[in-house]
Amino acid sequence: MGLRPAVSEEQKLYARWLSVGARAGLAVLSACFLVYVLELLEPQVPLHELPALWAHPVEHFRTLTGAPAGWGWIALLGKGDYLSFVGIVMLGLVTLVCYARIVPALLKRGERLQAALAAAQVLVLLAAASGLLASPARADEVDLKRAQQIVSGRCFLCHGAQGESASELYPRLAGQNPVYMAKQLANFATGERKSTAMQPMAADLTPQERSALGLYFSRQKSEPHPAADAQLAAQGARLYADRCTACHGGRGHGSETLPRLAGQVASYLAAQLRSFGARSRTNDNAVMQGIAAQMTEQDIRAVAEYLSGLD
Amino acid sequence: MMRLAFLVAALAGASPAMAAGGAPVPWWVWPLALFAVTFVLGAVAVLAGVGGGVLFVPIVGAFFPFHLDFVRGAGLLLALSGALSAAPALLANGLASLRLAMPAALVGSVTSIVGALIGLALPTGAVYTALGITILAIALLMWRSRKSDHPDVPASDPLAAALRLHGVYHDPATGREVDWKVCRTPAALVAFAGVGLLAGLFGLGAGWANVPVFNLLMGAPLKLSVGTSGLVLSVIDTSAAWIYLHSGAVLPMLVAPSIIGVMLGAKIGVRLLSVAPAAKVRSTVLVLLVFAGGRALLKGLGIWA
Repeated sequence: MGLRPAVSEEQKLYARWLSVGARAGLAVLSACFLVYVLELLEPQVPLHELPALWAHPVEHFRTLTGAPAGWGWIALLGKGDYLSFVGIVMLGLVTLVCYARIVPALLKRGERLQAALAAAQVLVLLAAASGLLASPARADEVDLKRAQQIVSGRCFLCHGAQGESASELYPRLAGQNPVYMAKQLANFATGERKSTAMQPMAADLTPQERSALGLYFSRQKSEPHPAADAQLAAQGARLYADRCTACHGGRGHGSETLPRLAGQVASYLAAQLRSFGARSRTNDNAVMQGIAAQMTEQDIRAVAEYLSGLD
Repeated sequence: MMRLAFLVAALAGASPAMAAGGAPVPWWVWPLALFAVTFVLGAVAVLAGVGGGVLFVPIVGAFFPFHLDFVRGAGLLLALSGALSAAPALLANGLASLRLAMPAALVGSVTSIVGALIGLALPTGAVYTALGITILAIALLMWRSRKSDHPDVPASDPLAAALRLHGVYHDPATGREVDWKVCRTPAALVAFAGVGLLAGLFGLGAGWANVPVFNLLMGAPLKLSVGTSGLVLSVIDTSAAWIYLHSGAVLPMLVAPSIIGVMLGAKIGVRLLSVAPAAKVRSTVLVLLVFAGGRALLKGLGIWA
């Protein structure tokens, strides 16, 4: 076998730097991910909440979680999820560094055209990495301003401008799960969920407006409302742990498609459980009618009391 | 392959049902499922001679509950990680040409940034529809594509001559030195612009397009085309990945298990290479692509949400 054809110096240089950079990036990413999933560092977005969030478009996800754009994640490096960005960014920077490294090597060899190509590539990668090329607003982005108009036009009278209902007759909407809420509005509009008060309110809302209202109320802070009857609440806690946590979660926060029950008005919760038990509530009834039918009036009051006191 | 088909079918059936009101699936199920699927994808991709990046977005986008924005962000990082890992050895052995890659990568990286910005601005339904059509077209291209080990290039075009896009590499399989040069460079750069746009739009790896452009259009030898394709892909996907990262469309919970899964899968795939029936695997991948592309198209059109 004769001598192998020579590989150019800049190609060897690129290969060496790439090899080190890629290995380091992958190793750091793997290590940081372990820290994240083992919860050695508290994440910005709790792990159990992720499945309710990652089905949303990125704009919506950012609004719901307060996730930063651009290089804003650096301020959150102490959080498990954002620590993993170090490895990801290393993988993103390795090509830029390799190109920057070969520019002087090419110039030294008098390869001006190739050096100009490499320098142009560095500029393109720098522009991408700078974060200056922000993505424009998505066409189906949720319009929170429109939601605010609707709330101040019709919702606030019963549910309060921030979703903290003034009366025990109406549910609190502050902190409610957005997708669940948008679905309820759709069900009110079609009559699938019966309410003479809500049907005309929801009838003319577009799907975008329903989503926007869901998002608006989900972003309002739910105020703590300690349970009025601690003994009844303690009884409700046992019942809740036994029958409800599998779907509604340990703290009554629900999920993307299931309602947040924590902090809800007790009388409203009790009324809904009675409606499910009597089969007069006809949406979201696949599981709830069976469960509520087995509950006594005392059970219903106890669970409602317990949930109303949760944060 | 049966395992992959079963898992995909199970996820396709299970995730909407769970979302519709059953008990919530614990968070850790998803990264594990992602790891399992990408592990199989990594092995299958090697056996079928395609990049894992082109399979990841349509399959995970169609059958997992993650929004397509995050799937595309993860798809880009997955494809570029594989390319970054493979490139040093190929470059050092001369089976990839940095000189050949540079103009293609420059053009493709600019358009991939544009593609990423467009993709993140378009309504989700439109992206699904376009992705479905693109994946079906890729499947057709892969089914019909020809390859040429050593295309005959009578003379370099003026641009290729100016950029000195020629060289010699050592083919370890034959033990011979292979001289190469290329032609039709301007047309190829236009093609790379299109490849970059699609990669940025859909978060796809671009090996399915880079190899035919280098090999069939420019006349580069097949082995050099495959090696250089990975290098171009790493630059194109890096540029688009930055846009997704800065827009918040990169979730470590999707990215890390997918990268680890596909890389370990690829190692197994290489070991299976000598025993697995490559033609059958390739046909199955094509069927899978058609299925996933069809699902994305129907999802985009609102027929199979």
